[in-house]
Amino acid sequence: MEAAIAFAVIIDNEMLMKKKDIWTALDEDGNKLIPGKSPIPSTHMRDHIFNFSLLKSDRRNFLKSVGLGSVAFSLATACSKSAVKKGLPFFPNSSDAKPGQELYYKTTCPVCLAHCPLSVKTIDYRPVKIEGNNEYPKTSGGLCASAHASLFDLYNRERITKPYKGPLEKTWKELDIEIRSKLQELSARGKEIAILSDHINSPASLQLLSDFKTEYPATQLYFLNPLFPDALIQANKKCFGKAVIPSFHFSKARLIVSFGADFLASWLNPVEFTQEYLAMRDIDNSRSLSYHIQFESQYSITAASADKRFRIKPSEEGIILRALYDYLQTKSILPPHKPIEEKYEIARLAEKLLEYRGRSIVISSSNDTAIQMLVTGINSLLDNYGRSIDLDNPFLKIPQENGSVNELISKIEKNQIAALVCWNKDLHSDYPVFNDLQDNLEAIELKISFNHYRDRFSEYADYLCPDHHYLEAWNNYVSKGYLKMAQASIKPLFNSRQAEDSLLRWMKHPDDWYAYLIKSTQAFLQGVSKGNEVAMEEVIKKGFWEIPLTKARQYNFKQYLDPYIQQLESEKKGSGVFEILLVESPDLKSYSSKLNPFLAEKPDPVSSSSWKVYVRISPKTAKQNGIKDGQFIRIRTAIAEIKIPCLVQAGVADSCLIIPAGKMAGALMEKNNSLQLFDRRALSHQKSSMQAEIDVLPGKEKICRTQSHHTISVEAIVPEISLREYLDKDPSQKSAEPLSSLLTKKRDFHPHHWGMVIDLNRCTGCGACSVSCQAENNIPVVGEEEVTKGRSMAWMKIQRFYEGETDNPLIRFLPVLCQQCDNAPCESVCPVSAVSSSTEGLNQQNYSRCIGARFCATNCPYLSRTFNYKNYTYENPHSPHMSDKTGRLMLNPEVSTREKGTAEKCTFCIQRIQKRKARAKQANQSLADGMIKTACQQSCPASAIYFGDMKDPSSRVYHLLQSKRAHQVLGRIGTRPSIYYLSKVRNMDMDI
Amino acid sequence: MMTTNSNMESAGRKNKLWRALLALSLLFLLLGMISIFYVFKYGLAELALSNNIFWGVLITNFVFWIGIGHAGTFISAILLLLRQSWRKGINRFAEGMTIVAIILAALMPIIHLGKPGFFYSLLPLNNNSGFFLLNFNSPLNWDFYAIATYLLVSLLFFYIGLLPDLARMQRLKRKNKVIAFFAAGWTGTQMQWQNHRQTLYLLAGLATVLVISVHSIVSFDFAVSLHIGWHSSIFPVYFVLGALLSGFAMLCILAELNRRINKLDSVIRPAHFEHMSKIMLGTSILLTFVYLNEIFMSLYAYDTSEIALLIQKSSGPASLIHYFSLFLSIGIPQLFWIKSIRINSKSVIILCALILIGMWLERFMIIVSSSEMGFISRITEEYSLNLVSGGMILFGIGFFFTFFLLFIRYLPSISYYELLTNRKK
Repeated sequence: MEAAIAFAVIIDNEMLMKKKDIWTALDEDGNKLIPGKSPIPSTHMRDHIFNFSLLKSDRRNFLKSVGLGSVAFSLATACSKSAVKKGLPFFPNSSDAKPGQELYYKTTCPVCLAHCPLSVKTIDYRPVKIEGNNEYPKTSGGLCASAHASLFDLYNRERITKPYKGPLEKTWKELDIEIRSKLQELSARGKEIAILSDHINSPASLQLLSDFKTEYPATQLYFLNPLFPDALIQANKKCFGKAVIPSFHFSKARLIVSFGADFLASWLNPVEFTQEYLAMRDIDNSRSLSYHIQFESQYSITAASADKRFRIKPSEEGIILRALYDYLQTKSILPPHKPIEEKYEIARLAEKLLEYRGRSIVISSSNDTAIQMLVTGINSLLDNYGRSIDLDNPFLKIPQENGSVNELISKIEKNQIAALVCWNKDLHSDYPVFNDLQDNLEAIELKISFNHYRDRFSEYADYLCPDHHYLEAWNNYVSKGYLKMAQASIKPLFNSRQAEDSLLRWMKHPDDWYAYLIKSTQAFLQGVSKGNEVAMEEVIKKGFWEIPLTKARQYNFKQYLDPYIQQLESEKKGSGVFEILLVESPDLKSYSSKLNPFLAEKPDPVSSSSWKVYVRISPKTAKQNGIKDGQFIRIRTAIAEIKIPCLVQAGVADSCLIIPAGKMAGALMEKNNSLQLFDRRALSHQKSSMQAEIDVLPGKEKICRTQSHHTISVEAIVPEISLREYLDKDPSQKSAEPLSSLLTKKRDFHPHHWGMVIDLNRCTGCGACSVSCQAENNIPVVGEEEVTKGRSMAWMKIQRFYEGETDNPLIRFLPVLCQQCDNAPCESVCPVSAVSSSTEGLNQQNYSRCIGARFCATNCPYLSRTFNYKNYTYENPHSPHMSDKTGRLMLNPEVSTREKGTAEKCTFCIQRIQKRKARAKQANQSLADGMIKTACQQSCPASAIYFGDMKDPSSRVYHLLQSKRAHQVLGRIGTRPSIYYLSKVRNMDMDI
Repeated sequence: MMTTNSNMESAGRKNKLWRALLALSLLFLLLGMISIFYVFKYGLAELALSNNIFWGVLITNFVFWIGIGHAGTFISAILLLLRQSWRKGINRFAEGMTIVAIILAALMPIIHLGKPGFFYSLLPLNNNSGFFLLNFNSPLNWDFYAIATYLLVSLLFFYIGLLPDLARMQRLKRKNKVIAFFAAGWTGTQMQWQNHRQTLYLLAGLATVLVISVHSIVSFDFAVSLHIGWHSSIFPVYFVLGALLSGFAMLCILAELNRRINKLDSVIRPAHFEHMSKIMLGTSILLTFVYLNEIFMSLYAYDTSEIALLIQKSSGPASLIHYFSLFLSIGIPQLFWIKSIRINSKSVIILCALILIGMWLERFMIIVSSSEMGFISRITEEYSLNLVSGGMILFGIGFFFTFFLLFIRYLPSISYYELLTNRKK
């Protein structure tokens, strides 16, 4: 088996050594790995590598999977005629590439419009973990759950592995010839070639498409994204003549008013927004807080951080904004639009906004142009443009020439389209309206699919030309003043080809995509750097390049809003007492529309439900209509009807039906057969809400949830203080030492005492940490049934606590992981000493010694231990990364998997600690603070988690422990946990 | 003389009641074995356990069956030392009951292990990590040794007591070599009787301590933990009293069975039921005190979590089961104040069956309902009994009655020699 690996490595290395334009990959700190100085994997480490679970019980399977992987790498490398640079990224000198050595490749996440820079950790030539790029100043290494989970798609066995013509396998060459001649023929006839894709934000791809258009002039581009903020762009276009999404700077806003925009979790650019938002809430340094007001119908995690939350119906949003706009203009609320109960607040709010003129921000996630116009008007009246909102360095620019969905549909209906290229777009799942057009679609002469998976479209497509997963592909992106490079971090696993490459071939372009991209990027860089030479290699190495910013100008709004306001009022949105609102759910935002187990299992932070799409209704509405939690209802609108189970969610606006939406929603909804009648286009394209009737159906199902009500004394567990209390508190006064600590002996640890501080004032509860932990520690995904039965295996759980009435409660989040107690209740009760504490204060679980008595788990007051009730590692359809041969390539070889009958828990990422310690020792350095980052800490978009040595007075953790906000959870029962929480401070004093 | 002899001989004769009961017990045992097979094959998930409630029906069974054993030891040891002569009619099968119950109880935690094949890890065996790598802080280890000691002492006690009767049996059936082997050359000399008596008293002294200690140690599984509702020093008393109550309830049922099957009307008399009823009445009153004390303590300590648990127990979703179990375990025994109920074996065994159900539910509530409550909020799914869990309960009943029925059929189920000495007096 070692020979097999060695063989694969040797082949790769030989090929690599022939390439000269290669530079050394980076280690975690971004330092180059220099031959000789790089740490040599010790025997111990090698044991780890070759000991990962595949091997333990099934040597044959291990060989197969390693074989599959290494054959894929080595054959592809050895046999491909093309240059290595095509598939392999910049690769280290061969002597660096040791088995078990991790290498980091900088690339860019394509999952959403934000395009966060990534750092992909590869071990033995396979990506095993996706992390945020630490160097990128806007995210500081933070990353959302979706990006973490996108690794699943790379190793998904269901990917289309080779090119097909109908049902027949073909070579790329054969396909190219056929497609090219067909395209030429259609083009000669002047027929339209439609390319459907997600929004493309890559200058190189856009240039390629325009080149393609030059070659085939009848080409028309359609960006299809049901959740794309069209109205926002329309409003900016109408008001300022700029078809852009502006950059929002929350770090320049003292007063934030958000209408439904879940900007900390899903709206536009959540990771950067989180960082910017928290810059204004850094209570310990600035001793002040921004004030955040959220108006919304759903209960989003952004609202959980807000200082004040108002519950409104979607239809009330326009009324409130109108009143606000009027007040800002005329200092009074005009009578016809006067919302009765809101009047006082709106006047106060407007006054506050005026007080914070230029230092405020008003946003809305509505997809109604009139509403966005009002928001634009309000921001303009408040002089926010050029200050907190930047139109000159926009977040996203829209190329003019793309068509809309409605255009596309009408063209398909009229059979005007001759060729249809579907580019990573699950047409039928995103727009069920296409189901009705199937005959017209099938009649199209040339149908090409670039999709990764077989979907409805691929059933009747003429050619399947599978695209690379983004980790196998090269690209570039531009957003918000940065050029971001995406480089491949693995040789293509299958015989796929990047879509851009395919288009180039069909254009008969002399360059391949890599050369084209590099040329295009260089041209772009020269353009924006005004002639200065920019080293391409540096850009790729760093992953991004800062485009010099133009100065943000102030924009004056000269639009007469009345027609829009009238439009808003006159609009009849159907009949019915209920309002449907589609909200973009961060948990449904996946790379492809295929079911992603990590994201599916990740509980929604607010409702703590997973694996299914539920419609959320308020407790009052539920009571009035006799709806129970989990009851099926039928929603009838003018356009469609669907059957969907209900989830009763505190804090949701009454008479509202909140339906989470996202790319993966289709995959989860199909499971309850409710997709068929659901026309998302009608719901989301122009309007953000519509009215509906409901029927309560007799059926009921158990909601897949990870948390419920049995909670004792929230106040003691997650204390929260108001800003006033915080400022009044004597700085020397620390949280009282718990009484029980007098009863238990304080233990001494050496040379380190690892500890963690979680700043709840920063934590937004997004749950990215839990997905990161799951990927790092090979935690199985257990599936809907198991989660419903309470057997979720997550080590890092976000506990959610409500405070106040069910109408509009406050939410407190508490990330709970193993508290690594100094006086651990789990240690004393294990009969076979499988649990022990290390000399550095870690609780260690010895998986092979564990006999599964579960006393440890029973005795853990934090409930942070999980038990392998079933064989989740091998016989688990929900964990392809464990049970599937290709999927297993994703397992982190530094962490063993756990067998049936074993208790497990968070280890503080002991593999990272040990590796860092070993490396420091080899380099003869002392272990500096911040060198070790746990997986949860690394990926936290809010940088709320700090890990370090509690004994080291220079460490950040030591410093934070002195905070007057520091407290332990359940310290009173004498467990002496090593995790401290800094309590949340809410700005309750502004009082609007 | 006549009765005793006829009983010893009745072992060979056909007995419809015995056969029917044995068949039923074997069926239960079979169903139980199937459930155990399920658990071994598909994992403990089959028992509806979760990462919220880690202990369920098996630990309930463990506590319940180990408690059953206590009545036997109580009768044979404490009543022996107290020279209560009424014990003589029932002590032998009470001891038999103890042994079957201990073995059964010991099986439960082994089935309950995540890796049952490794149960021997609890033994101080030499392994590559050293000789004693056990954690003697763990109550599970205390359990293991407490139960092993209890089983050993009970076996010895049972066997020593059985010796004269085995010898008698051997005289009646000369050809049985097995009996001859175990009779160990007992001839009934004065010396042998003297030693026999001394050994019995010595072991009785040991067993007396065990009656108190074993269930106290079992209760430490809960009392030593940090769990809400378990973390209480009243638990040893609570468990020992509960054990006696359920043990005597079971013993009454067995006495009636034995009386019917072996036609021991002259040996097992209404007085026995009356005595045992009185003991049950007494323990149930003490138990009531413990319950009240528990409520008092949680209010007195003013611990938020304990009070929350109290509210949960008294008004939560499972409160009905809780009240029902309380009614059965401390309400029903109050009927024993009435003499006509006490001396009527039929009414006694009906009440005893109800008490047993109550005590089982009581243990179940302690283990499961407390687990549903936590410091940190938990998962919605509440523990519910499923088919496999039901199979585990059947396994307990089947195993217990199968071996008990075999015992009363093939071994002297009452202490003949003691009864004979009693006669002589």
